[in-house]
Amino acid sequence: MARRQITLKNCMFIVKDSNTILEDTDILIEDGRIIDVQRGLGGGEEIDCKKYIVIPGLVNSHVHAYSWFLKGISDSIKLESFFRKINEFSKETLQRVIYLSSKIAILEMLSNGITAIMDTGIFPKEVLKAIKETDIRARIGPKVIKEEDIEYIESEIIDIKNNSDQNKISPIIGIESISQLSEQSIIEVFNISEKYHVDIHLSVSKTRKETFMIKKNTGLFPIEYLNKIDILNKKPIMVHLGWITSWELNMIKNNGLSIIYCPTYVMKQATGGFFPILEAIKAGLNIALGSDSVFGNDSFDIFHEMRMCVYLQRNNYWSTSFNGKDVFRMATINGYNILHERGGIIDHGYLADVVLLNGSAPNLRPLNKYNLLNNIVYSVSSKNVFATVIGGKIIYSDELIEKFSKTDLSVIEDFLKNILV
Amino acid sequence: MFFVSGNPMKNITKGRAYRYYKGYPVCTLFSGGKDSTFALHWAVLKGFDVKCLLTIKPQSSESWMFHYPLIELTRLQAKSIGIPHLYYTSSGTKEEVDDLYRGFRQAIKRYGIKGMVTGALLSDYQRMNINMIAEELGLNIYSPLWRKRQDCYMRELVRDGFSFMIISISVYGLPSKFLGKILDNDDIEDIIMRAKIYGFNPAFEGGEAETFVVDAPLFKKVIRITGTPIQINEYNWKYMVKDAWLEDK
Repeated sequence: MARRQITLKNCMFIVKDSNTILEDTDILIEDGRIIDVQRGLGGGEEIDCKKYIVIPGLVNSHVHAYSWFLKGISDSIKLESFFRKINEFSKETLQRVIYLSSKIAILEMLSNGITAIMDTGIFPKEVLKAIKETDIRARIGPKVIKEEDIEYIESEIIDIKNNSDQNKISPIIGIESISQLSEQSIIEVFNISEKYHVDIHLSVSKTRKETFMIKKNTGLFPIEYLNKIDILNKKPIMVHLGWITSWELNMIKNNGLSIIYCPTYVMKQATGGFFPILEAIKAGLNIALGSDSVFGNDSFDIFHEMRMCVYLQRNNYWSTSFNGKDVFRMATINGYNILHERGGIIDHGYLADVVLLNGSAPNLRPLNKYNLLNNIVYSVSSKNVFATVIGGKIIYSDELIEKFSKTDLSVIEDFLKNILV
Repeated sequence: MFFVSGNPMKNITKGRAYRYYKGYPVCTLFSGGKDSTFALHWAVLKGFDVKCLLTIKPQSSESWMFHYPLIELTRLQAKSIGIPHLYYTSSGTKEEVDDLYRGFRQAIKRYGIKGMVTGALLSDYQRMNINMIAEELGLNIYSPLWRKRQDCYMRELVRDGFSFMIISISVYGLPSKFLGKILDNDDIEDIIMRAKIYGFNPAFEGGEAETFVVDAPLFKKVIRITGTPIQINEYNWKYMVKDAWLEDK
């Protein structure tokens, strides 16, 4: 079979990684991977990138795409009554809403330069359908909110495994909070994850209330408790950690766990915690960024998330030592590490997941090698994204916006009307 | 045009505006050292309505010997600041958290506070235990100094007009010359340098030293202290207070 080659010619700038910026250089891509990065390359389809900045694709490491239909209204509704109302609808309607929601959420993410997502939520089958249609790289799976959810996860994982291209899509399991689950149930979920070799994304110490409940019930802080019941050595991916203690961070370090941080979400939800990011970086931990659900974040945008992360952490510490380079790594390579993929860097052998930014946009001016990375962290908006390339294939460009505007959203609109009245 | 005849407060003391004008009711956990005094300072600048100070006198034998006279002096500080002072003696037999719980409940009962301001710097034991009690009682916790850069903070204290002295030392590398002395800029630089060399925390978070504030922007009167340093063992010094009184500023 002929190899599929693409050359990105004469790229205005290439952000190879957080420390290396190249000017006027070519990128050769073959079968979804980057083969070479240097001047004078050619072959296959050649794209003139004189006007474009090429950066590694961004990873949204923690998202619930299904929640997209709540955009802009999560402030004005009470969640309990909302979920009660939702249950009055037929399963078919809900599935349709969640499929459309997920699809648009993913289109939005593609338009924001996101090349890979890690998504857990309700009706993962519908989300999977949306993922396959949009062709984004994904880890997807069910989310355990209460004990009853556990009986379904096994079949859902098998379903995702059987119905997806294993290279691009594979299953994960999400756990909303361990305060809702018994020790037995937590262990059961981890046993399932071991059986099928899937990662667990574990949301821990998000709110003070959750931390309090666990301390009250077990006498231990959440990570201490997980350590006691031998969960930490099963390598869960830790999400949030706003209310952890220094000794809990040490336990995470001793087990070499990865962390996902969602700055906008914790701010908007007013969780009041303090994720000790400088200490976590010093401990050498792999920290990635996520947007989390629409309940606490109205845009699934990792550019925005990078900015928020720096702002919040600097304000927390009264110190500017956390910087653009740190957060750029969080948004790119650290996310790919959690995906278990070689990506997030533009170099030989890495995945050809890249984003083309419009280098002539006024909001990025003045632009040079020295301010480029900070401009990307602090100034880029989704409007600057010219194309999103995943596995060497252009998945998003202007054409997609047209397709997007034609999507029939009347099901969602009707659904919302019924709920919000 | 903007001046209203009569009492302008009359209108805004009704409804929402009233709550805004009075500020968010809080209590400051107050030990008389630099951190809790700074936290109080922060809360006032923030526009909070600091209803009371809460001090809990420890009762372990060591504390009883040496902290006793100094923690007593928080009464003088409270008098100088002019904020009501809740002062409790730890029962000694139970855990510290129980004493805190009782203190917090009293502050809510007497002053209707909704939040607690603490000077926690880096001790998660302190921060999280306080937060767990607060969660049970429905209080918000504000720890303005949490994980802030400690050398910057020490410099800022002196710059912002905090006069404080070191009253106990329990670390190698901090000489007894600092005992009972009101620290100036040079002393702070000296301490920051020593902290780097000898590897202790420049703001004494690990209990390397304890401080006592004799004057601060919110103090209406300054505290005068006389006393003598005494050596406990090789690196362990305490300042024994003989007398303390308030003086006009």
